[in-house]
Amino acid sequence: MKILAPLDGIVFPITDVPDPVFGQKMLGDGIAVDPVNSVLSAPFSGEVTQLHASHHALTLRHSNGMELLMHIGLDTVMLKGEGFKPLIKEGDKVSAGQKLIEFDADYIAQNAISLLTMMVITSQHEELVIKPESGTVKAAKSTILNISFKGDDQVDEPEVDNQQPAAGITVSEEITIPNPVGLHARPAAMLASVARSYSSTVTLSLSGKSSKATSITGLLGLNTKLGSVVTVTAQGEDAEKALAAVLEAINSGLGENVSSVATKVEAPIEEAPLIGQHNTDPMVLIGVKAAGGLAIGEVFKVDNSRPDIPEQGQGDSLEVDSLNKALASARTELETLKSDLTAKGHDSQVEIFEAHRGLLSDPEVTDKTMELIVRGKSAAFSWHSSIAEQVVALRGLDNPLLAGRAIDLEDVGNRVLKHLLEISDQDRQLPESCILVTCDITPSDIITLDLSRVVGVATREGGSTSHAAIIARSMDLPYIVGLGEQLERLNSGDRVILDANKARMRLQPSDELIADIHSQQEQANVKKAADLSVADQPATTIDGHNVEVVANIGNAKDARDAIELGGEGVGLLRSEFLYMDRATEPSEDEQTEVYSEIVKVLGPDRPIIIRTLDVGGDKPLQYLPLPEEENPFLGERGIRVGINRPSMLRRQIRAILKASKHGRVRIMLPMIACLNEFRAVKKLVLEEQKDLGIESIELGIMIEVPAAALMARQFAKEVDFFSVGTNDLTQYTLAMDRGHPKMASRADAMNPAVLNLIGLTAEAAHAEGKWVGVCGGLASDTDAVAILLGLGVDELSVSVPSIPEVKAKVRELNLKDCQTLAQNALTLDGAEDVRELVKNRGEK
Amino acid sequence: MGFFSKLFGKNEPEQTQSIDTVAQPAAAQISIDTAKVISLLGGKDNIANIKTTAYTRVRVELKTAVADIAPSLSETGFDGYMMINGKVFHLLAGLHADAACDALKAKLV
Repeated sequence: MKILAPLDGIVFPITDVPDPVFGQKMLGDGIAVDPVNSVLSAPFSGEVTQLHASHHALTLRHSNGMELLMHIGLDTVMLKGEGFKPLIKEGDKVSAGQKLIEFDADYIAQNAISLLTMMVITSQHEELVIKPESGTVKAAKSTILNISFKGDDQVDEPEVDNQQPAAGITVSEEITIPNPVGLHARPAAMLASVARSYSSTVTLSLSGKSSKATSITGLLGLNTKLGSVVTVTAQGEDAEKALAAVLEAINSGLGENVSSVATKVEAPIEEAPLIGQHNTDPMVLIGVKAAGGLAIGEVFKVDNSRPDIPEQGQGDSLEVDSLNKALASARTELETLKSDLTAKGHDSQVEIFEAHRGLLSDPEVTDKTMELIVRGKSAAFSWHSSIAEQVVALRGLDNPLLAGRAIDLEDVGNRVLKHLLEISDQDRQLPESCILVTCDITPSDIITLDLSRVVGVATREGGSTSHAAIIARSMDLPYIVGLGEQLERLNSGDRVILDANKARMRLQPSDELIADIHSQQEQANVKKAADLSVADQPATTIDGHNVEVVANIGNAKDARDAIELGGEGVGLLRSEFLYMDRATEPSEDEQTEVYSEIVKVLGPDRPIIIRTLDVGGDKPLQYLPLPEEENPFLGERGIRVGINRPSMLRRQIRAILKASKHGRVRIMLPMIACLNEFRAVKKLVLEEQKDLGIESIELGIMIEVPAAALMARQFAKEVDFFSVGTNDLTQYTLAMDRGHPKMASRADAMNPAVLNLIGLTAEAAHAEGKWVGVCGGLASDTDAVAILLGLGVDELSVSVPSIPEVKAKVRELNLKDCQTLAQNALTLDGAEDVRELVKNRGEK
Repeated sequence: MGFFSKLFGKNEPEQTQSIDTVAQPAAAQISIDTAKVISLLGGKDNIANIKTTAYTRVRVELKTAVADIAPSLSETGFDGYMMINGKVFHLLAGLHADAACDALKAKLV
């Protein structure tokens, strides 16, 4: 048989390969190619019996039983997959010439010993003759090897264990694999040669798979890793000797240096970090906040285990009938749910259930279900397995958004399943003020919770950005996710405190603690009512300093709510809402209309700052293809998108300018780092102002990049105002991702480094007679208000619900004291110290 | 050297055609037309970095990209080449990569 070249390149004799495993044919005979292209293709049609976890090697089996190992480069297992992109999976049937693995030739050339790609026949054949070609070869065109062996052209299943059990004894022992990347080609070859010198059959087994020690491909197929515990069994006359020799060979590293790793093979234990909160208190469970709030209640554990589903159907027509009925009932239910929600004005939730309704008629699911019903399965079984298959597929996608939608599909699936199995929701009687504890919760489950009974939710899995989380937030239902194994420590009936704001749950709280929290909650409610009653009064400090308290909004409804709650204007209109979730860019006219509507809500006197589009590689838009970036937060983001695509920015600026006729509109540019960026956009704004005949408009920038804060003196001469985006400023100053589970608690904007940058900005602004606001999360943090005022901040732009509270806070303060406090804060060592300082001051 | 060639820094014609035969300790030898390789790669001032890599390759990094050098490179003595991008090339020399790399480097000083 002829074997095609798997690559373009130069043929290289296997004996010249500078690695004894290949050069001395320890794995078998074959040939090597020095590639000049960068994709490995199949040299014949066959099945991929093994793809190494590091993606640098695979084994292909021909229908005649021949197995060929293809190994890209030397020592490339150490690259751990970097530079390799497999295009196939283990078990795939491939045809000759089909692309198998793409690789980054330059990266591998520079990081591995060689790029030489070996093809080795690893199956055992009698009378095997190999005639290699030489010179230059073309992938999938040139022949690289001519092979003949006894039994070729016959379909020969790979060796089946039909031998008589060998005589002698059987011994076995467990051993831990010390090789850093498990038994890859080289150690496997060494092991095989050790095992061959004994007459006993030596077998290695790991998690249900086993292989003879003499079979290299079998050993590779075990997918051993550092620390894998493998059972070695020897059977035969010299079993004891063979076992001892194999164990010793494995322990010695099979030709690899394992001394450095031999000691650290035990299972990884979770270490206590040197800083930050590590949970040492067994009475506290730590999760991830999905919806804030505080609740005291009794644990009610719900087992998500599925009811029994009969597999066999009672005939096609009956089953199809009951499926259709169940689908119709589910549809009706969703319609009712939707109209209830519409009546309550929960538009975003309506969309979620609209999507669910669509999933009911998804052909991927319904076709598969029908197929199974026709094969005699019950409707419930067929529906359930079709949904499960899709859920698994979605979860497996490398896209967190789609993976997150798996729970939506599961939700729809369960809804229909309940009808099919005639289970009613009513039999789940919840105790009073309970905290629901479960594996994961679906949007449907959460929205139908009886809030007179359920006061909080905690789950083992789930995400803080899931639909369920969004719904819980709108329901004001405390909800934490990601408790993991800690869930085992909870039992139904346990009394707990769920502090979702801090993402923790305290077990068996004392009566005093509970009483304390109850009184805190009561006080908070009283204060909230009091703050609200004076919300429309100005925020003036005791010593007569006036602070503008405005709102961060996303649409016209927010604008109305903000005014209702005493907002004196808008410090940040996020224009993204106009651009998101649609197939095309909003037109200039559409934008003008929407901006005008919001500006009119505010009236002629209240100011409104409209921020230009702030998107980036991390939140791309369908019609604005941004290339995938290795580091989106340092990539094309914020104003950088507009600078690189001025026409889209120009349309937005024109729309804002047109809307500015209706009120006091200001424009704000996000993510400015350098002066030339500001100047370029300012020029564009001036051009459009001239074109539209608009005399003047204030143009300011966000301070989110530390460079902009450090250059605030230069900026202050040219901008009309600054607004500090504390979330991004903190992230960029501390180089800590706020969403990072291990970093989030340390990425605190109260860090003196961040406060210093805010102070610098304010000083620079005032020196040029400009003003500075804060529109990030820190402005809504009442503990930070005093320090911000002390640093010279003139405007606080806060989340709509916190307007009354922040205004009330300002009225309690004395600007002189704030200035002293701020100066002290700047000299402190960390965010905790600043928070401590503020707290102590409050108690005095 | 004539006046004009001194003025414009031109080399004498016979020097540009030199063929370097690189001696290998083993019997095998490789003949590389180093001058031709360097001129294909945009001249010696265009070569930012040159090294042996991956055992069989000479990796050349250029300052400014050159067009594909395919047709002519095959006549220089290398077994083959791979264009990673306009600025990075791998020149394949089998077991003689070190020798070929040294020969090219010698031409750059």
